[in-house]
Amino acid sequence: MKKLLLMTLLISTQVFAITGREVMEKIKTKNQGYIGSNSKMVMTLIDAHGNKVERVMNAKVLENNKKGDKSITSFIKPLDVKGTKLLTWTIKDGANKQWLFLPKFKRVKKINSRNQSGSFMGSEFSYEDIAGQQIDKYKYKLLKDDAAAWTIESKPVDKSGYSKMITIISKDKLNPLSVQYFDRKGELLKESKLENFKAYKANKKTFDLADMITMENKQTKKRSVIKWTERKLGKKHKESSFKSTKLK
Amino acid sequence: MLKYLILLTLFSTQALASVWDDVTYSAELSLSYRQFDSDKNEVNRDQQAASDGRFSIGLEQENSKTFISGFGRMDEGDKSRNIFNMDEAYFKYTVDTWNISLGSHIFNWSVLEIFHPVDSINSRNLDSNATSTERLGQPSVVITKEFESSILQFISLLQTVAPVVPSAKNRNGPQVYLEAPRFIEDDFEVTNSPDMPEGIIHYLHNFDSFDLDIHVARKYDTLNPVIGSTYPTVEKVQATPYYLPVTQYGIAIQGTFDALIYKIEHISYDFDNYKVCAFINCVNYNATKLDHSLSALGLEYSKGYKNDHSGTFFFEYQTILGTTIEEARVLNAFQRDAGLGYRHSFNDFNGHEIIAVIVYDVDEYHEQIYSLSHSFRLSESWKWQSELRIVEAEKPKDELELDNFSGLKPISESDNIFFKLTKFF
Repeated sequence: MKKLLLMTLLISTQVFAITGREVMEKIKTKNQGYIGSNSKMVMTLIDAHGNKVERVMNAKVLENNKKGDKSITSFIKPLDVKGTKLLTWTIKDGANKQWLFLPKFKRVKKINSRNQSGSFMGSEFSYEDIAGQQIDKYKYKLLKDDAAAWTIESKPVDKSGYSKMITIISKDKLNPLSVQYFDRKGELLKESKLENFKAYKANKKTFDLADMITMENKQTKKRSVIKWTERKLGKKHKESSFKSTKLK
Repeated sequence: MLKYLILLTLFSTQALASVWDDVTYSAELSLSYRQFDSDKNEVNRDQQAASDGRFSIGLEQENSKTFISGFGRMDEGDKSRNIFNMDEAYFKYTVDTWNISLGSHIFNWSVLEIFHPVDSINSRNLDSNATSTERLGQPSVVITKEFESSILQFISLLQTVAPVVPSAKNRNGPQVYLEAPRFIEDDFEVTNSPDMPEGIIHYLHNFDSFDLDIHVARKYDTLNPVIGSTYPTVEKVQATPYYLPVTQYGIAIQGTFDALIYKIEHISYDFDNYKVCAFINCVNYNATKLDHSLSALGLEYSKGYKNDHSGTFFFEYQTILGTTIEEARVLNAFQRDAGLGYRHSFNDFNGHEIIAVIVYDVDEYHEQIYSLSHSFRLSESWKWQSELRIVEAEKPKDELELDNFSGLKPISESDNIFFKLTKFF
């Protein structure tokens, strides 16, 4: 009995040798230092009957490890929103800041990033999913530690469209392979799968990034697929380009 | 010689190919039809059928930006509606934290959805609906200094652009024969092309939770004219809009508070108070432009629904300060008005969207505008829009009176239904 207890204790110690937070810190460190990026994103929306429609965007990201990354997403398709630009300042420990430039009215409109659960361009991705995770905005718990992957539970500390997320993280690539999203009632809402990993080199580092993410809504059976093309890391963007006044 | 020509052609092609990736463009062509409720007036037209076009092309490189955009409209039934306007056509060059932009610009610092007090720099094509009129390009030089979280701009307006006034046939306007707009100079000269120097200082600051926008301008007020009568006859009423110099101070704030976006706009007009009736035939003998302020505030709340639809509620209120309500009625179409709106996005493949807006006069309960619009994509490049607009306001009198131009009277009985089919490129 004592032996069994000791074994259990040893296994437990091994399980908690690394915490969920530490895993996320590892991912953060691995993905830091890309300086900036340019990419074209093709998002395919697929309804429950298999009908498809495409959205196309250009994305420009400026890395800022102190305050949080900044990005500008320029819409190309559908053509009626061509020229619309979304500026996002990801704030490390607070609500993100967002501005939208409406070319028809030549006007910059502030968006309330407190409501992040809304659909992004009619897709299964929400604004919260697109903005990306900031490590301090969640509490983490390591659920499983396999030879190839960690399973982490993330619970938002602030307002979110989700009650929790369960992420499977590749130990090899130090990047998520899949994420399950649970709604506020605790029911499984969506699941994303990250595929087509490709090694990008920038700033004397290698970044293993998924060039395709499929988000499936488990309740409506609708799917959205984002594919990145023309992705370039190590782009030295000017900080001054990521201001609301520069959207015009 | 041929060798040089080939080399030149190759060089030009290469140069063009090297910048082509930086070129952005957009264009649209549309057919629109508006049917007004009949007012049994044979002078005006109850139908408007037009073809419209818009385009923009831009080239942005390391330190420079060239941008051209414009719109045009052709209406075979009412040729006075035909217009081509190069709203923006400028070249901008940046050196460090300074940039200079020369050309035609649109200045829109408004933050609200319905009322736009600070959107008062560009002149308008008044042949468009009361809440979103088309702006005309303003020839100007803009010098901008950028700071960490703010910008400071010095704007010199190179030319005074006269507004486009609808003809008497057009039910979007006051339906009187309006002569070409005229400008009053400080030596009481009345001219079509004034030479008063006009300029603006504009400052924008992004604070943590709100954006602050301030401007001071010395310019012609091209939004609210003094109406002078030219030849009032029984059959035909003619009038001339006279525009006066003004010094204006504007401020706009947009910020977030929890799930709300709050918006505030305020503008003060300090007119050169010429007794214009001393040298023009005023409709009202005491007519002049009174100093006044216009304040508006708005709240916006967005909500996501379980079925992936999303909705945005917006409430706005605008009031004129510094005048009596009777004086206010000829200064702005919206004197003390509240607007309530709701935008519902279906977030589906076709991008179905419904917008419902009610604007009502808090003082004059019989003045209201109701509008309901629906839009959706027919395909990736085609879009369909429809709108129902009902205007409830007292009908203007047959005789030319200043009161005919007050509130929503000029567009009373202009209930209409509108359809638009657009092809995007």
